[in-house]
Amino acid sequence: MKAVMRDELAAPRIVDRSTFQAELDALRVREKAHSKEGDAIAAARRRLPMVEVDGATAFIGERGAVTLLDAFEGRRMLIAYYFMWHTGHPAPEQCEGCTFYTSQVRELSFIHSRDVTYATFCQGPYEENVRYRNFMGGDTLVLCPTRLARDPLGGTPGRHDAHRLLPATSIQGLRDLLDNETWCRGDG
Amino acid sequence: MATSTEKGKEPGKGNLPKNTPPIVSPQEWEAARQQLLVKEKALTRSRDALAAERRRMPWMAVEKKYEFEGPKGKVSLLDLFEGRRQLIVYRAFFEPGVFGWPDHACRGCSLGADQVSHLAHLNARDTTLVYASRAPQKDIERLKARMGWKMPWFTMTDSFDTDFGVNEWHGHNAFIHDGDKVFRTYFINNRGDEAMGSVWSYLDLTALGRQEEWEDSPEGYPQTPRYKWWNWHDNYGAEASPDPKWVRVSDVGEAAFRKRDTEAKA
Repeated sequence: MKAVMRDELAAPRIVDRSTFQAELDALRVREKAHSKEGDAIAAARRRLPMVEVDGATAFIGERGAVTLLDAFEGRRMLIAYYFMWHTGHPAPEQCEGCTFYTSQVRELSFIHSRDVTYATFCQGPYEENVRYRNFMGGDTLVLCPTRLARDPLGGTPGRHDAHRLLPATSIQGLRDLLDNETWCRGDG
Repeated sequence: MATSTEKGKEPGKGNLPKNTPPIVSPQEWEAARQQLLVKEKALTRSRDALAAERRRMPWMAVEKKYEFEGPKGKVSLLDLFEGRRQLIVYRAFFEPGVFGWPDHACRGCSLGADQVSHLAHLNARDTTLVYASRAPQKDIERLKARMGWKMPWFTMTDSFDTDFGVNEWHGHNAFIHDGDKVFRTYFINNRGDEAMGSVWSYLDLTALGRQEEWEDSPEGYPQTPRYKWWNWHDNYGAEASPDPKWVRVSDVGEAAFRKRDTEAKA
């Protein structure tokens, strides 16, 4: 066991319980202000305008060919995470950052109960993606595109209402996904 | 009373809420997003500054010898570190008298447990996360198996909960040790707990932070370059130091997005 050397760390003062509590209470004021600012920003996100995207954009998922609208799985909102996929490369050569992030995504039943679906989008082929997901032990839905759209956000408006219901913050993920240059590689 | 329609409402199929924002063009949407992004970034920076303040908190010496029950019998607070430098203890409510007992832990604590991310990354920064409750180990073992939770989970046997502000409500206590001396370094509770679960939320709570070079920490704190210490959760044991290939890949990635940011600002 490597001991922490206080000299080496130039560690802070060692204090008694009441001094510690007083310092804690002082910093708590700033902590709470930060929480409230976070709430205010989330409120502003809910008031952002929305942009219509093409709900008919095609993907491959667990059930075969699906549309972006299908990816909602009947829920009102969708959060799309774009995972950088290196087609044809083995598991140890897939993106460590995306993998790190995805290993922080855990139980989804709570957000499902709030009418939100979470899905991972990446370059195909689907069989490679899902093999990696299962290998790493994740359970987020994986979708990959069947055709590659240059800029679906500026394209044909969809025919359904549901994609209007993508909250703006979710569209950010989707926009990153659909705007990403890697989207334009492959069979598109 | 709810109507049958309301009861049977399928997700995503009901009427839209009133007062939804306007539908705009992609350009207008992007402009609105960029405007809000200024605030988003300020909040991120303010979180970094807050974590830097936490790292400058004084430390409280833990003088009392606490005892916990673990899967292998009695252990001390120092044992909970599992040989790592830092420890985070979350007090979860699971004991007789708590709603859900004995099948379940408290609903809020259970939601929290469900969002605990893969602990390999936290462990790689010399930090251990444990849960602690009043329930006996046999009940904890059953609960973990039922819910699929993997974190170490101990039984409190003494005044640990009262002494660390978690006897009536949940909370995360952070500790560090120097040899056999243990210090309390921070405490998060109330709504602070709702943000806990990601690797970053835990590291930002600790005395040493993320241990990355960009951080504003006291002189001499352990720091390594960002990105480079990341690994796949099943590969930390196999690789003692960063894989040179990953170092190159992350350097190229960082250079690319910094260039994009610079160009965007130009």
